[in-house]
Amino acid sequence: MDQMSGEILLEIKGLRAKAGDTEILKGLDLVVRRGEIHAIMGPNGSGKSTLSQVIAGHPGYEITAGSVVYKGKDLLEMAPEIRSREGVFIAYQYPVEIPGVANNYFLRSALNEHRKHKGLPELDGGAFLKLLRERMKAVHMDPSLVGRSLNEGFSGGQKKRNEVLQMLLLEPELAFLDETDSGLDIDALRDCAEGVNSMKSPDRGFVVVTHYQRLLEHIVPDHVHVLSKGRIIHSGGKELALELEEKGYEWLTGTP
Amino acid sequence: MADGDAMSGGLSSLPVAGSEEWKYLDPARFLQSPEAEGSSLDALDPSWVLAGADSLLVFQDGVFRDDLSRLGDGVDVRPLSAMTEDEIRQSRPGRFDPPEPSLHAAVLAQAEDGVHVSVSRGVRAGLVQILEIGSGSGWTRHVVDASAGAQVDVVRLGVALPGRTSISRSVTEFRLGQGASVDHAMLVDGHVRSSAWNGIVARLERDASFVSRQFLFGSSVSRAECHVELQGPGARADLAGLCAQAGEEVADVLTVVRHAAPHTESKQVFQALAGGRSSASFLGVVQVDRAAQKTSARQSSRNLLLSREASVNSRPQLEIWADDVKCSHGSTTGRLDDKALFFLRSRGLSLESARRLLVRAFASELVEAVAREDFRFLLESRLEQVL
Repeated sequence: MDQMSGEILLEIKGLRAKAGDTEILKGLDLVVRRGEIHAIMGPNGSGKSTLSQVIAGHPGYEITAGSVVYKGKDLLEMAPEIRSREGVFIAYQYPVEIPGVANNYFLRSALNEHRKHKGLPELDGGAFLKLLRERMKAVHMDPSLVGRSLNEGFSGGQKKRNEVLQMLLLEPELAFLDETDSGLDIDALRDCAEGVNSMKSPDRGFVVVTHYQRLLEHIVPDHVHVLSKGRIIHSGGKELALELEEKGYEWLTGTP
Repeated sequence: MADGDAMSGGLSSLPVAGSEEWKYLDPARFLQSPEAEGSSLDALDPSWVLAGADSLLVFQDGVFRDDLSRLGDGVDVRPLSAMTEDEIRQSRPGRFDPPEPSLHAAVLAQAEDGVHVSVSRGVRAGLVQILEIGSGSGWTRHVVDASAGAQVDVVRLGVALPGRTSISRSVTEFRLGQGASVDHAMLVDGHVRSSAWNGIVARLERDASFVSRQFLFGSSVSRAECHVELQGPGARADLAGLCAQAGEEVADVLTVVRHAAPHTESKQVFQALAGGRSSASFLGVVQVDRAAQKTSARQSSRNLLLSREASVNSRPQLEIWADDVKCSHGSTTGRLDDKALFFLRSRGLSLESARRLLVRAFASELVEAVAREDFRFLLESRLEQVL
C-alpha cells in the first residue's frame, strides 16, 4: 500500500499541545502522503478540533513537545499566513462571521496573496469574478452571497459551502476539513463532499476530521484513525469507519 | 439675544473648559488666529470637487472665492457677501437662538461670509457643495432654508492645506419647513497642524426630515456639534458620524437632540476609530419634552481602539419628561477581533492586511451607507490616508 502512495506531505511526531493549563494533544503521530485521504474520527473532546487549530497555527495553543514537518519544513515555525500560502488549508468547523468585510473582496485578497507568494501575477477584478462564479457554481453557492459580509447571516450550509469555496479557490496541497459535516443537511453535505472530491489529486493530501461515518460515504478515505484523549489509538482502512459506526468508540477507548 | 452677543463679539457666552460639554477639550483652542501662510490658492484640487455638485461655493479662510465658485440654476444660493445687510438679517432673525454655552454665537459674530441657500416651497434642488479651504484662520456661517416640501442636499468639505497651520470655525443653520427634506454631509479632512470647530443647528417643522453625516478625519483638534430641535409632529432626524485618527488627534463630538413635539423620531449612530495616541469623545444628549409623547429616540456609539495608548469616552445623556416614549442607547468600545484576525491570516493575509481589512470593515458601516457615490469615493480615499 505504501509503495502506491506519494511522498510524505505531513509528518506529525509525538505532538503535545495545551490550551491554558489543559493538555489536549498527548503525543500524537500521523503521516499523510500526497494523494491520500485520511479520516480522523473520535468522540467529543478527544482533541480533533485542537489538531486542526494547531496545524493552522492558532496562537491559543502552546506546543510543548513533538514536531510537525510539512513538505520537509518545520510547520510550527511558520506564521499562520505563511502556512496558508505554502498550501495548508483548514475548513473550519465554526466559520467566523466578519461584518463589513465583503466576501468577494476577502476571497480576492486571499487568492492574490497566494499568487504573489507563488510568483504569479495578481488577478484583476474581471478575471477573479469569472473564476469565482465558476467555483461557486461547483458548490451550489447562492450567487447573491458573493458581495455580502463574510458569513454574516449565512445559513449553516452556506457557511460550510463558503469554506469549501475558499478551498477550491486557494487550491491547497494539504487540506484539513474540521467537522465539515456538522449541522449540514444532505444537499449541503453532498455539495461539500463533491467539492472535496473534485480536488482529489496525486499531489494533494486530505485529512477529514469527523464524528460521524456519514461524511465518509461521500468522501472515501484511504486510512481511518481513531483519536482518543489526544492520541491516535487505532488505525485502519475505510472499513474501520463502518465498524465504529456500528460498535461506537467504547471497544477502543475502553470507556463507555 | 443673538444680536446682543454679536455686538460684543459673541465672546460673553463662551463655554467653560471642564464643563460637561467641554470635558475633554478647551474651547479656547478654537479662538486663536494663526496667520495665513503662503499665497492664496489659485486652483482647486479636482479631488475636492464632487462630480454631482450643481453649485460649488469655495471659501479660503472664511473669504468667499468667487473665482473658484460656480452657482447652479433653480435654487437660490448666494454668498452672504453678495447680500445686503437687511437680507442677511432677515435670513435668520430670531429663528435660532444659538445653543449655549457654545461657540456658535462667537462664530456668528466673527464670520464675515458664508452661504445662504434658500429652496422654495416644493422645489427639489440638487446638490450644493460648500468647500472650505483652511490655510490660516477662518470663520464662516451658513444658512440653509428649506421651505415646506422642499428638498436639498448639502455637502460640506473642509480641507486643511498641507504644511500650513489652520483653524477653521463654521456654523450651519438649517431650517426645515413642513415636510421638507435636507440631506447634509460633512467631511473635515485635516492634519497635524489643523483644527476645526463645526456646529450645526437644525430646526424641523412637522414631518420634516433631516439627515446628517459627519466625518472627522485627521485634524489635530476637532469638535463637531449638532443641535437638532424636532418642533413639529412627525419630524425625523437621522444623525451619524465617524471620526478616524491614528496619530495624536483629539476629536470631540456633541449632539443635542430635543424632541419638542409628539410622534417625533431620532436616530443617532456615532463611531470612533482611534489609533496611535489619539483620543475621541462623544456626548449625546437626548431631551424629550413632556409634550413629546410617542417619540422614538435611538442612540448608539460604537468605537474601535487600535492601540493601547488611544482612548475613547462615550457618554449618553437622556433627559426624558414624557412617559410614553421609546428611547434606547448603547455604547461599545472594543479592539480588533482576534478570532477574525487569525481567520484572515490563516487564509494567507498578512497581519497588516488583516488589520486593515477589519478597520475598513468597521468604518464601512457608515461610509458605505453614504448614498452619493462621488462623496463616498472621496471618503474612502481619505480614510485610507488617515489610517
